[in-house]
Amino acid sequence: MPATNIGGWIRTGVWTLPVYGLLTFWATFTHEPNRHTQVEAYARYISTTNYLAQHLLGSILGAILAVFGAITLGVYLASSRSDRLALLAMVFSVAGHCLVLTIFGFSTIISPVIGRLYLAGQPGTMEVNEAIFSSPAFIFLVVPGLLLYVVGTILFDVAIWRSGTLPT
Amino acid sequence: VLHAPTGLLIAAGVQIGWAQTLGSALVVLAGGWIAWSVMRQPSSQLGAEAQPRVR
Repeated sequence: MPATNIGGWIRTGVWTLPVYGLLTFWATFTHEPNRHTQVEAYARYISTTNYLAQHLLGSILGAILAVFGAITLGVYLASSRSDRLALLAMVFSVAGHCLVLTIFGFSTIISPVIGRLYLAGQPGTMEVNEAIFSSPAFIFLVVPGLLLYVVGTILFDVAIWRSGTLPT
Repeated sequence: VLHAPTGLLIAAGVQIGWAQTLGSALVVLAGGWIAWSVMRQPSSQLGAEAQPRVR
């Protein structure tokens, strides 16, 4: 592939990083009430259209853009002296985002239903919610996902610093 | 430098809500800075090393 094509792809793809940040900022600007102490407020919060939009656009679309951003940054750094570190950072970041995406899927599809059912007079649905949050599958997805994401971010920073191609 | 703590802050946001907001604000700044720096580089430099070199 001609270098000019790769350059164009990198120039476009790298903008997914700040857009991902903007979407995440919007999605996390309001915080959900404590689900243990403010159960009804929590149920109302997760039943709103705003919550659904924040998870669909902010969290899910944001994570998709973050994956594109990680791949772009990896490709950009592939021709630098920190190529191996960039590859590792890209793999860790993409894997982390993919694992966390499964949780965003739960929050987008299941949580609003749980909130609505609770408000409709079925308090047992909150126990289902708690059972999901404390299930081994949930923990096995969240913990490695977040760890991979954190390590991927740090590795990218070291790769950028070592590459000397971007001002730090 | 701005990008370094973003992963930790966003991950910590699972327990501490404001950490995610702060982390994502830093992603906007750091990501914007990275994108702007890449845009300033000549197109010929981007991905150029991936091409076979002719001596």
